[in-house]
Amino acid sequence: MSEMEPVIGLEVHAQLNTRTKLFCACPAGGSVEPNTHICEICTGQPGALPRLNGRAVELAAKATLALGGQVNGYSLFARKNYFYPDLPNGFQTSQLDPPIGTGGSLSVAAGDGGRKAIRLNRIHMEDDAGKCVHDEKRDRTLIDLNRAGVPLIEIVTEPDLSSSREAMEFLKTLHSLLVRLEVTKGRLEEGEFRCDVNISLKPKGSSVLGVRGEIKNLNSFKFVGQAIDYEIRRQSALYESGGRVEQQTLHFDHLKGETRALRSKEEAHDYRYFPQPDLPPVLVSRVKLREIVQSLPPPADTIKESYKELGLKEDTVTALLDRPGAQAYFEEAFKRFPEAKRLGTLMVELFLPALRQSGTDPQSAVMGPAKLAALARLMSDGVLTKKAAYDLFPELFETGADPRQLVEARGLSRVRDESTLQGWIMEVIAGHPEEVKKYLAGQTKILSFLVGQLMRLSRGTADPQKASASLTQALEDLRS
Amino acid sequence: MTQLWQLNLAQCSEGLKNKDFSVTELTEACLKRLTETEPAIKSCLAVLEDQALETARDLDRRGNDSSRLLWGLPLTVKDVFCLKGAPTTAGSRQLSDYYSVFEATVVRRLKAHGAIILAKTNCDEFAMGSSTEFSAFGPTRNPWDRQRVPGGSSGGAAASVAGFQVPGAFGTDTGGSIRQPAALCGCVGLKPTYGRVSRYGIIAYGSSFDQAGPLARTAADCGRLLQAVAGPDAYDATLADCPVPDFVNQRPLKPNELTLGLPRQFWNADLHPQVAKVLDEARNLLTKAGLNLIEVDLPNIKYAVAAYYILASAEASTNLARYDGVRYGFRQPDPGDLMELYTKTRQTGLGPEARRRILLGTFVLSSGYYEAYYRKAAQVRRLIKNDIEAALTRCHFLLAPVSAIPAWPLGSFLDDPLTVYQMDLMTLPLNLYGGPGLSVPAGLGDDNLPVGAQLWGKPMSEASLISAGRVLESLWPKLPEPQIPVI
Amino acid sequence: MTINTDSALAMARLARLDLGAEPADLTKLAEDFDRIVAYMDILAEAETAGIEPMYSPMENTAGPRPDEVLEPEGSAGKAELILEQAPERVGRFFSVPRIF
Repeated sequence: MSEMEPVIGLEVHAQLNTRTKLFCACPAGGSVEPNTHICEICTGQPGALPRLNGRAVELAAKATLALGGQVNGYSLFARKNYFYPDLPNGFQTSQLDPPIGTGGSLSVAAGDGGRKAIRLNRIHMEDDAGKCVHDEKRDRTLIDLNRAGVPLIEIVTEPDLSSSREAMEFLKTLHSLLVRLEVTKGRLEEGEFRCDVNISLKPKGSSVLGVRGEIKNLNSFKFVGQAIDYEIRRQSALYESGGRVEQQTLHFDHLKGETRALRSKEEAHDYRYFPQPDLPPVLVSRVKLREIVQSLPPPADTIKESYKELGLKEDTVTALLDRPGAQAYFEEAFKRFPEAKRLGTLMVELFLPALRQSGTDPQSAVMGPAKLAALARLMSDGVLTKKAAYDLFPELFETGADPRQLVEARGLSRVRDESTLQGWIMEVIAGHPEEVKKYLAGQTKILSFLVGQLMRLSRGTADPQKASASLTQALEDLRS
Repeated sequence: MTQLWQLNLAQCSEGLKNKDFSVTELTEACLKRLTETEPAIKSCLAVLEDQALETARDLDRRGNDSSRLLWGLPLTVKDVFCLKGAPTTAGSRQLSDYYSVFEATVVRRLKAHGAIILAKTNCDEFAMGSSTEFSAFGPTRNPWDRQRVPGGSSGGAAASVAGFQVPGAFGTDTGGSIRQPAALCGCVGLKPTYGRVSRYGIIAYGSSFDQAGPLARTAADCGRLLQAVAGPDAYDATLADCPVPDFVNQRPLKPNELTLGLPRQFWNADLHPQVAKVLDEARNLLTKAGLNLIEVDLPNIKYAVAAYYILASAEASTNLARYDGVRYGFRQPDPGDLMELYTKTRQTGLGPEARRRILLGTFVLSSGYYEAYYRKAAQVRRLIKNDIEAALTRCHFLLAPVSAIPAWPLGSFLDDPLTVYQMDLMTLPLNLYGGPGLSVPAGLGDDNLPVGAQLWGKPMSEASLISAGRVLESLWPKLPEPQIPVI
Repeated sequence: MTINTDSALAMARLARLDLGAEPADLTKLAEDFDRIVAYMDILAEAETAGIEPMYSPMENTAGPRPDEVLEPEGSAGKAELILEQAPERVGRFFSVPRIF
């Protein structure tokens, strides 16, 4: 038996970052009671008609352009017909031919240290279904339609991926790009970025594809990796034992770490796609396209380079690019305080973790970029020690208070008043005659102990460098 | 002495303006007439007596507002229009207890113009049918002969106008469902251009064909009714984004200004002797008055019935997929599993014609048949559109019979769906094309049944179409009042 | 294309219709269906090479709507009205027999 190699393609669903649903004005998202964000349109009431959300079209076009694809000036919605309780109309409104976007590619780091371009087949818009909850006690399936009609783009790759590592790399790169473009909020735990994996094995060097399994609805990068590795092992074992891989739809059980066939459908699907007669063709004018192109931020690589030139570390750059809105926040702060490294450190060590904990967006944090810049400025001016700044941060983040005012009010600024410092120096010298004697005898290392004593006396408000210098001066003065 | 219920829409409006009678008096008169005639013609599924009287009294209290086109005028709407406060059934058992959660744009505009909605009228289930016999709630009877059908699917609407229950009504026309019952009942019916009137809140049958329009006793009344509802609506994405002309005050046309094209394929068709006789006479009257009649050719019209039933059924099959018993409407009690919930609910809730079209529509869209049927039919649709466009370059409007036979006895074709489909030959090509059409009574046959003729126009030509309709009306005999036994 | 009881049943299944257990009814239905489809086959004669399909007569439509809440008048409590129509409910959920 010849050696087999995996052939992997992905279908990624990203929820578009719109206020309202794709075909009605209900809010898209928000954690509310079941069946609250619903209306006649998204629940498929008799007589209701869809109305396309223009913002969704812009975002889909933006994603297409950023991925190097071609935006089709004319695309159509189609009805994809099937019955399911979470599908109110009995059809999903999707795009078949032509979709909003065609082609494009995204390059990922390949195993050999180089880059590999993963080609994209298409990008299309569609509406999401509702959610089914299975109630075992009552033996019922319960349906919530809050999510029904929420806008998605589906990004379909060519089968260009050949390992779980590449697939995960691709998804992370794509996720960070779409989040940075604000095409999606991309919250994995909310299912706002999820994917189906198509995977088959073929003899190495052959161009004939094997029968594929389709693993549905994975919403974590880790699970994608695990599911692919499991499926490669499963299919390999089947080939080796002379068995046959069946074309089937699989579910990944992350607790057991294995894929499982979904209960086989009683019939093959026949979606009976046809142009959706309730919606006119989607037209994107060249003027609109140019507008979108101009709104695109520079590519991530360019931003990374420029950030590194500012002195930011790789980790910091990644953290800024991965968190939606973090980059804009940083740049806003940077305009007011042009010392990138100090700002970056504050963002990574204090601001971003605090956001994560409180579950807020950078844009909605009460501590705006100007406040963070002010805090950095206080540190760089030597007004605030690092320790004092870090101790103060939670309160600043919580209240959005002006750092300068707070420092003033609390009397936390470093003491630079010479006479106070001299007072502490006298006190230290008077209180530690033995150590002073040792210092004068040439044991200069004892100085750090004496500085420590001084800092203690000042409750941390003295500038350690200045204290050290003045204390040395005072000790040297004792010699004469 | 003339009764209030005998007045047409314009006369009612004039009388209200002159304070000859109040809105309440008019509404009460129509309600009384409706109650008396309803046992014989059964045009209504729900009579909204309380709401209507309340609205009437409210309008009287506030006084006439001339900016409101339909101030104080009693109307009926077909039961495919969503209206709050009454069931919206579309003639289906599936929706027999369904209350809409919103109002159709047409209904909202009618109310905003001061109209009083007296009743919701009967129709073939989901507007699929040509006789109103496919209503789950029993057939409507033709006001001229209670043993005959009123036509359909807007049979209840036509009967309510022809039976003098109301001076005007709204129906929908997907393949002739306004024009054909108007012809069979002897009233005027207008199918506007596709995209002229919002479909929002109209229970869908064939989405690329459905169009709401008025039925009344004169073409001018149809113009007034259209005026109140036409024009862009943010809730229907398929509407044309263009201004609405004045349909009420149009310059009257002189007969010799009009050239009408008579499609050979229709006039040479096998017409019922009574229909042929009335239409021959009607044609002579036009020629005598100086209209220029020319023959035109629609070579692809022989494919129209097949193309229409493929496309409309395809759309219907998925428009009706929402009736699954999950969120609203009828549900088969105690289904064993989800599959049974779906199949038993739909089998019981939906009637035979709806199910037949769902099957046909499912078939023509299914894998392996899409190209040969659905796509091919869409190509033929363009051929037919091209034929009609070409014919309309040679004349102002096309003139055609509406139905090859007059109203037929109840039950005649229940077991013969294909024949009924073929009977739509002279109405449905207009829906494939999308232009407006006006059905006008051409006279009464010796069998005392009305015969109608229709005009077809270019998209958005309703204003001149109505003017042309007024010319025909003025030349053709005015129908007497049908004799309906009153209780 | 010829329609028999098997193809009629397959379509019914896709459309979630239950054609019933009576063989006579089913035979009649398949025959009607077959006659209708046979009639539709007239389209094969039409010369449509190079003809663009026409899916709708719509023209000059307005563009998409803005991404803003735009509710018709009197929409307050709409979600509740919708839920009231449910044939079966558990709390605020619609409910059906359990799927798996």
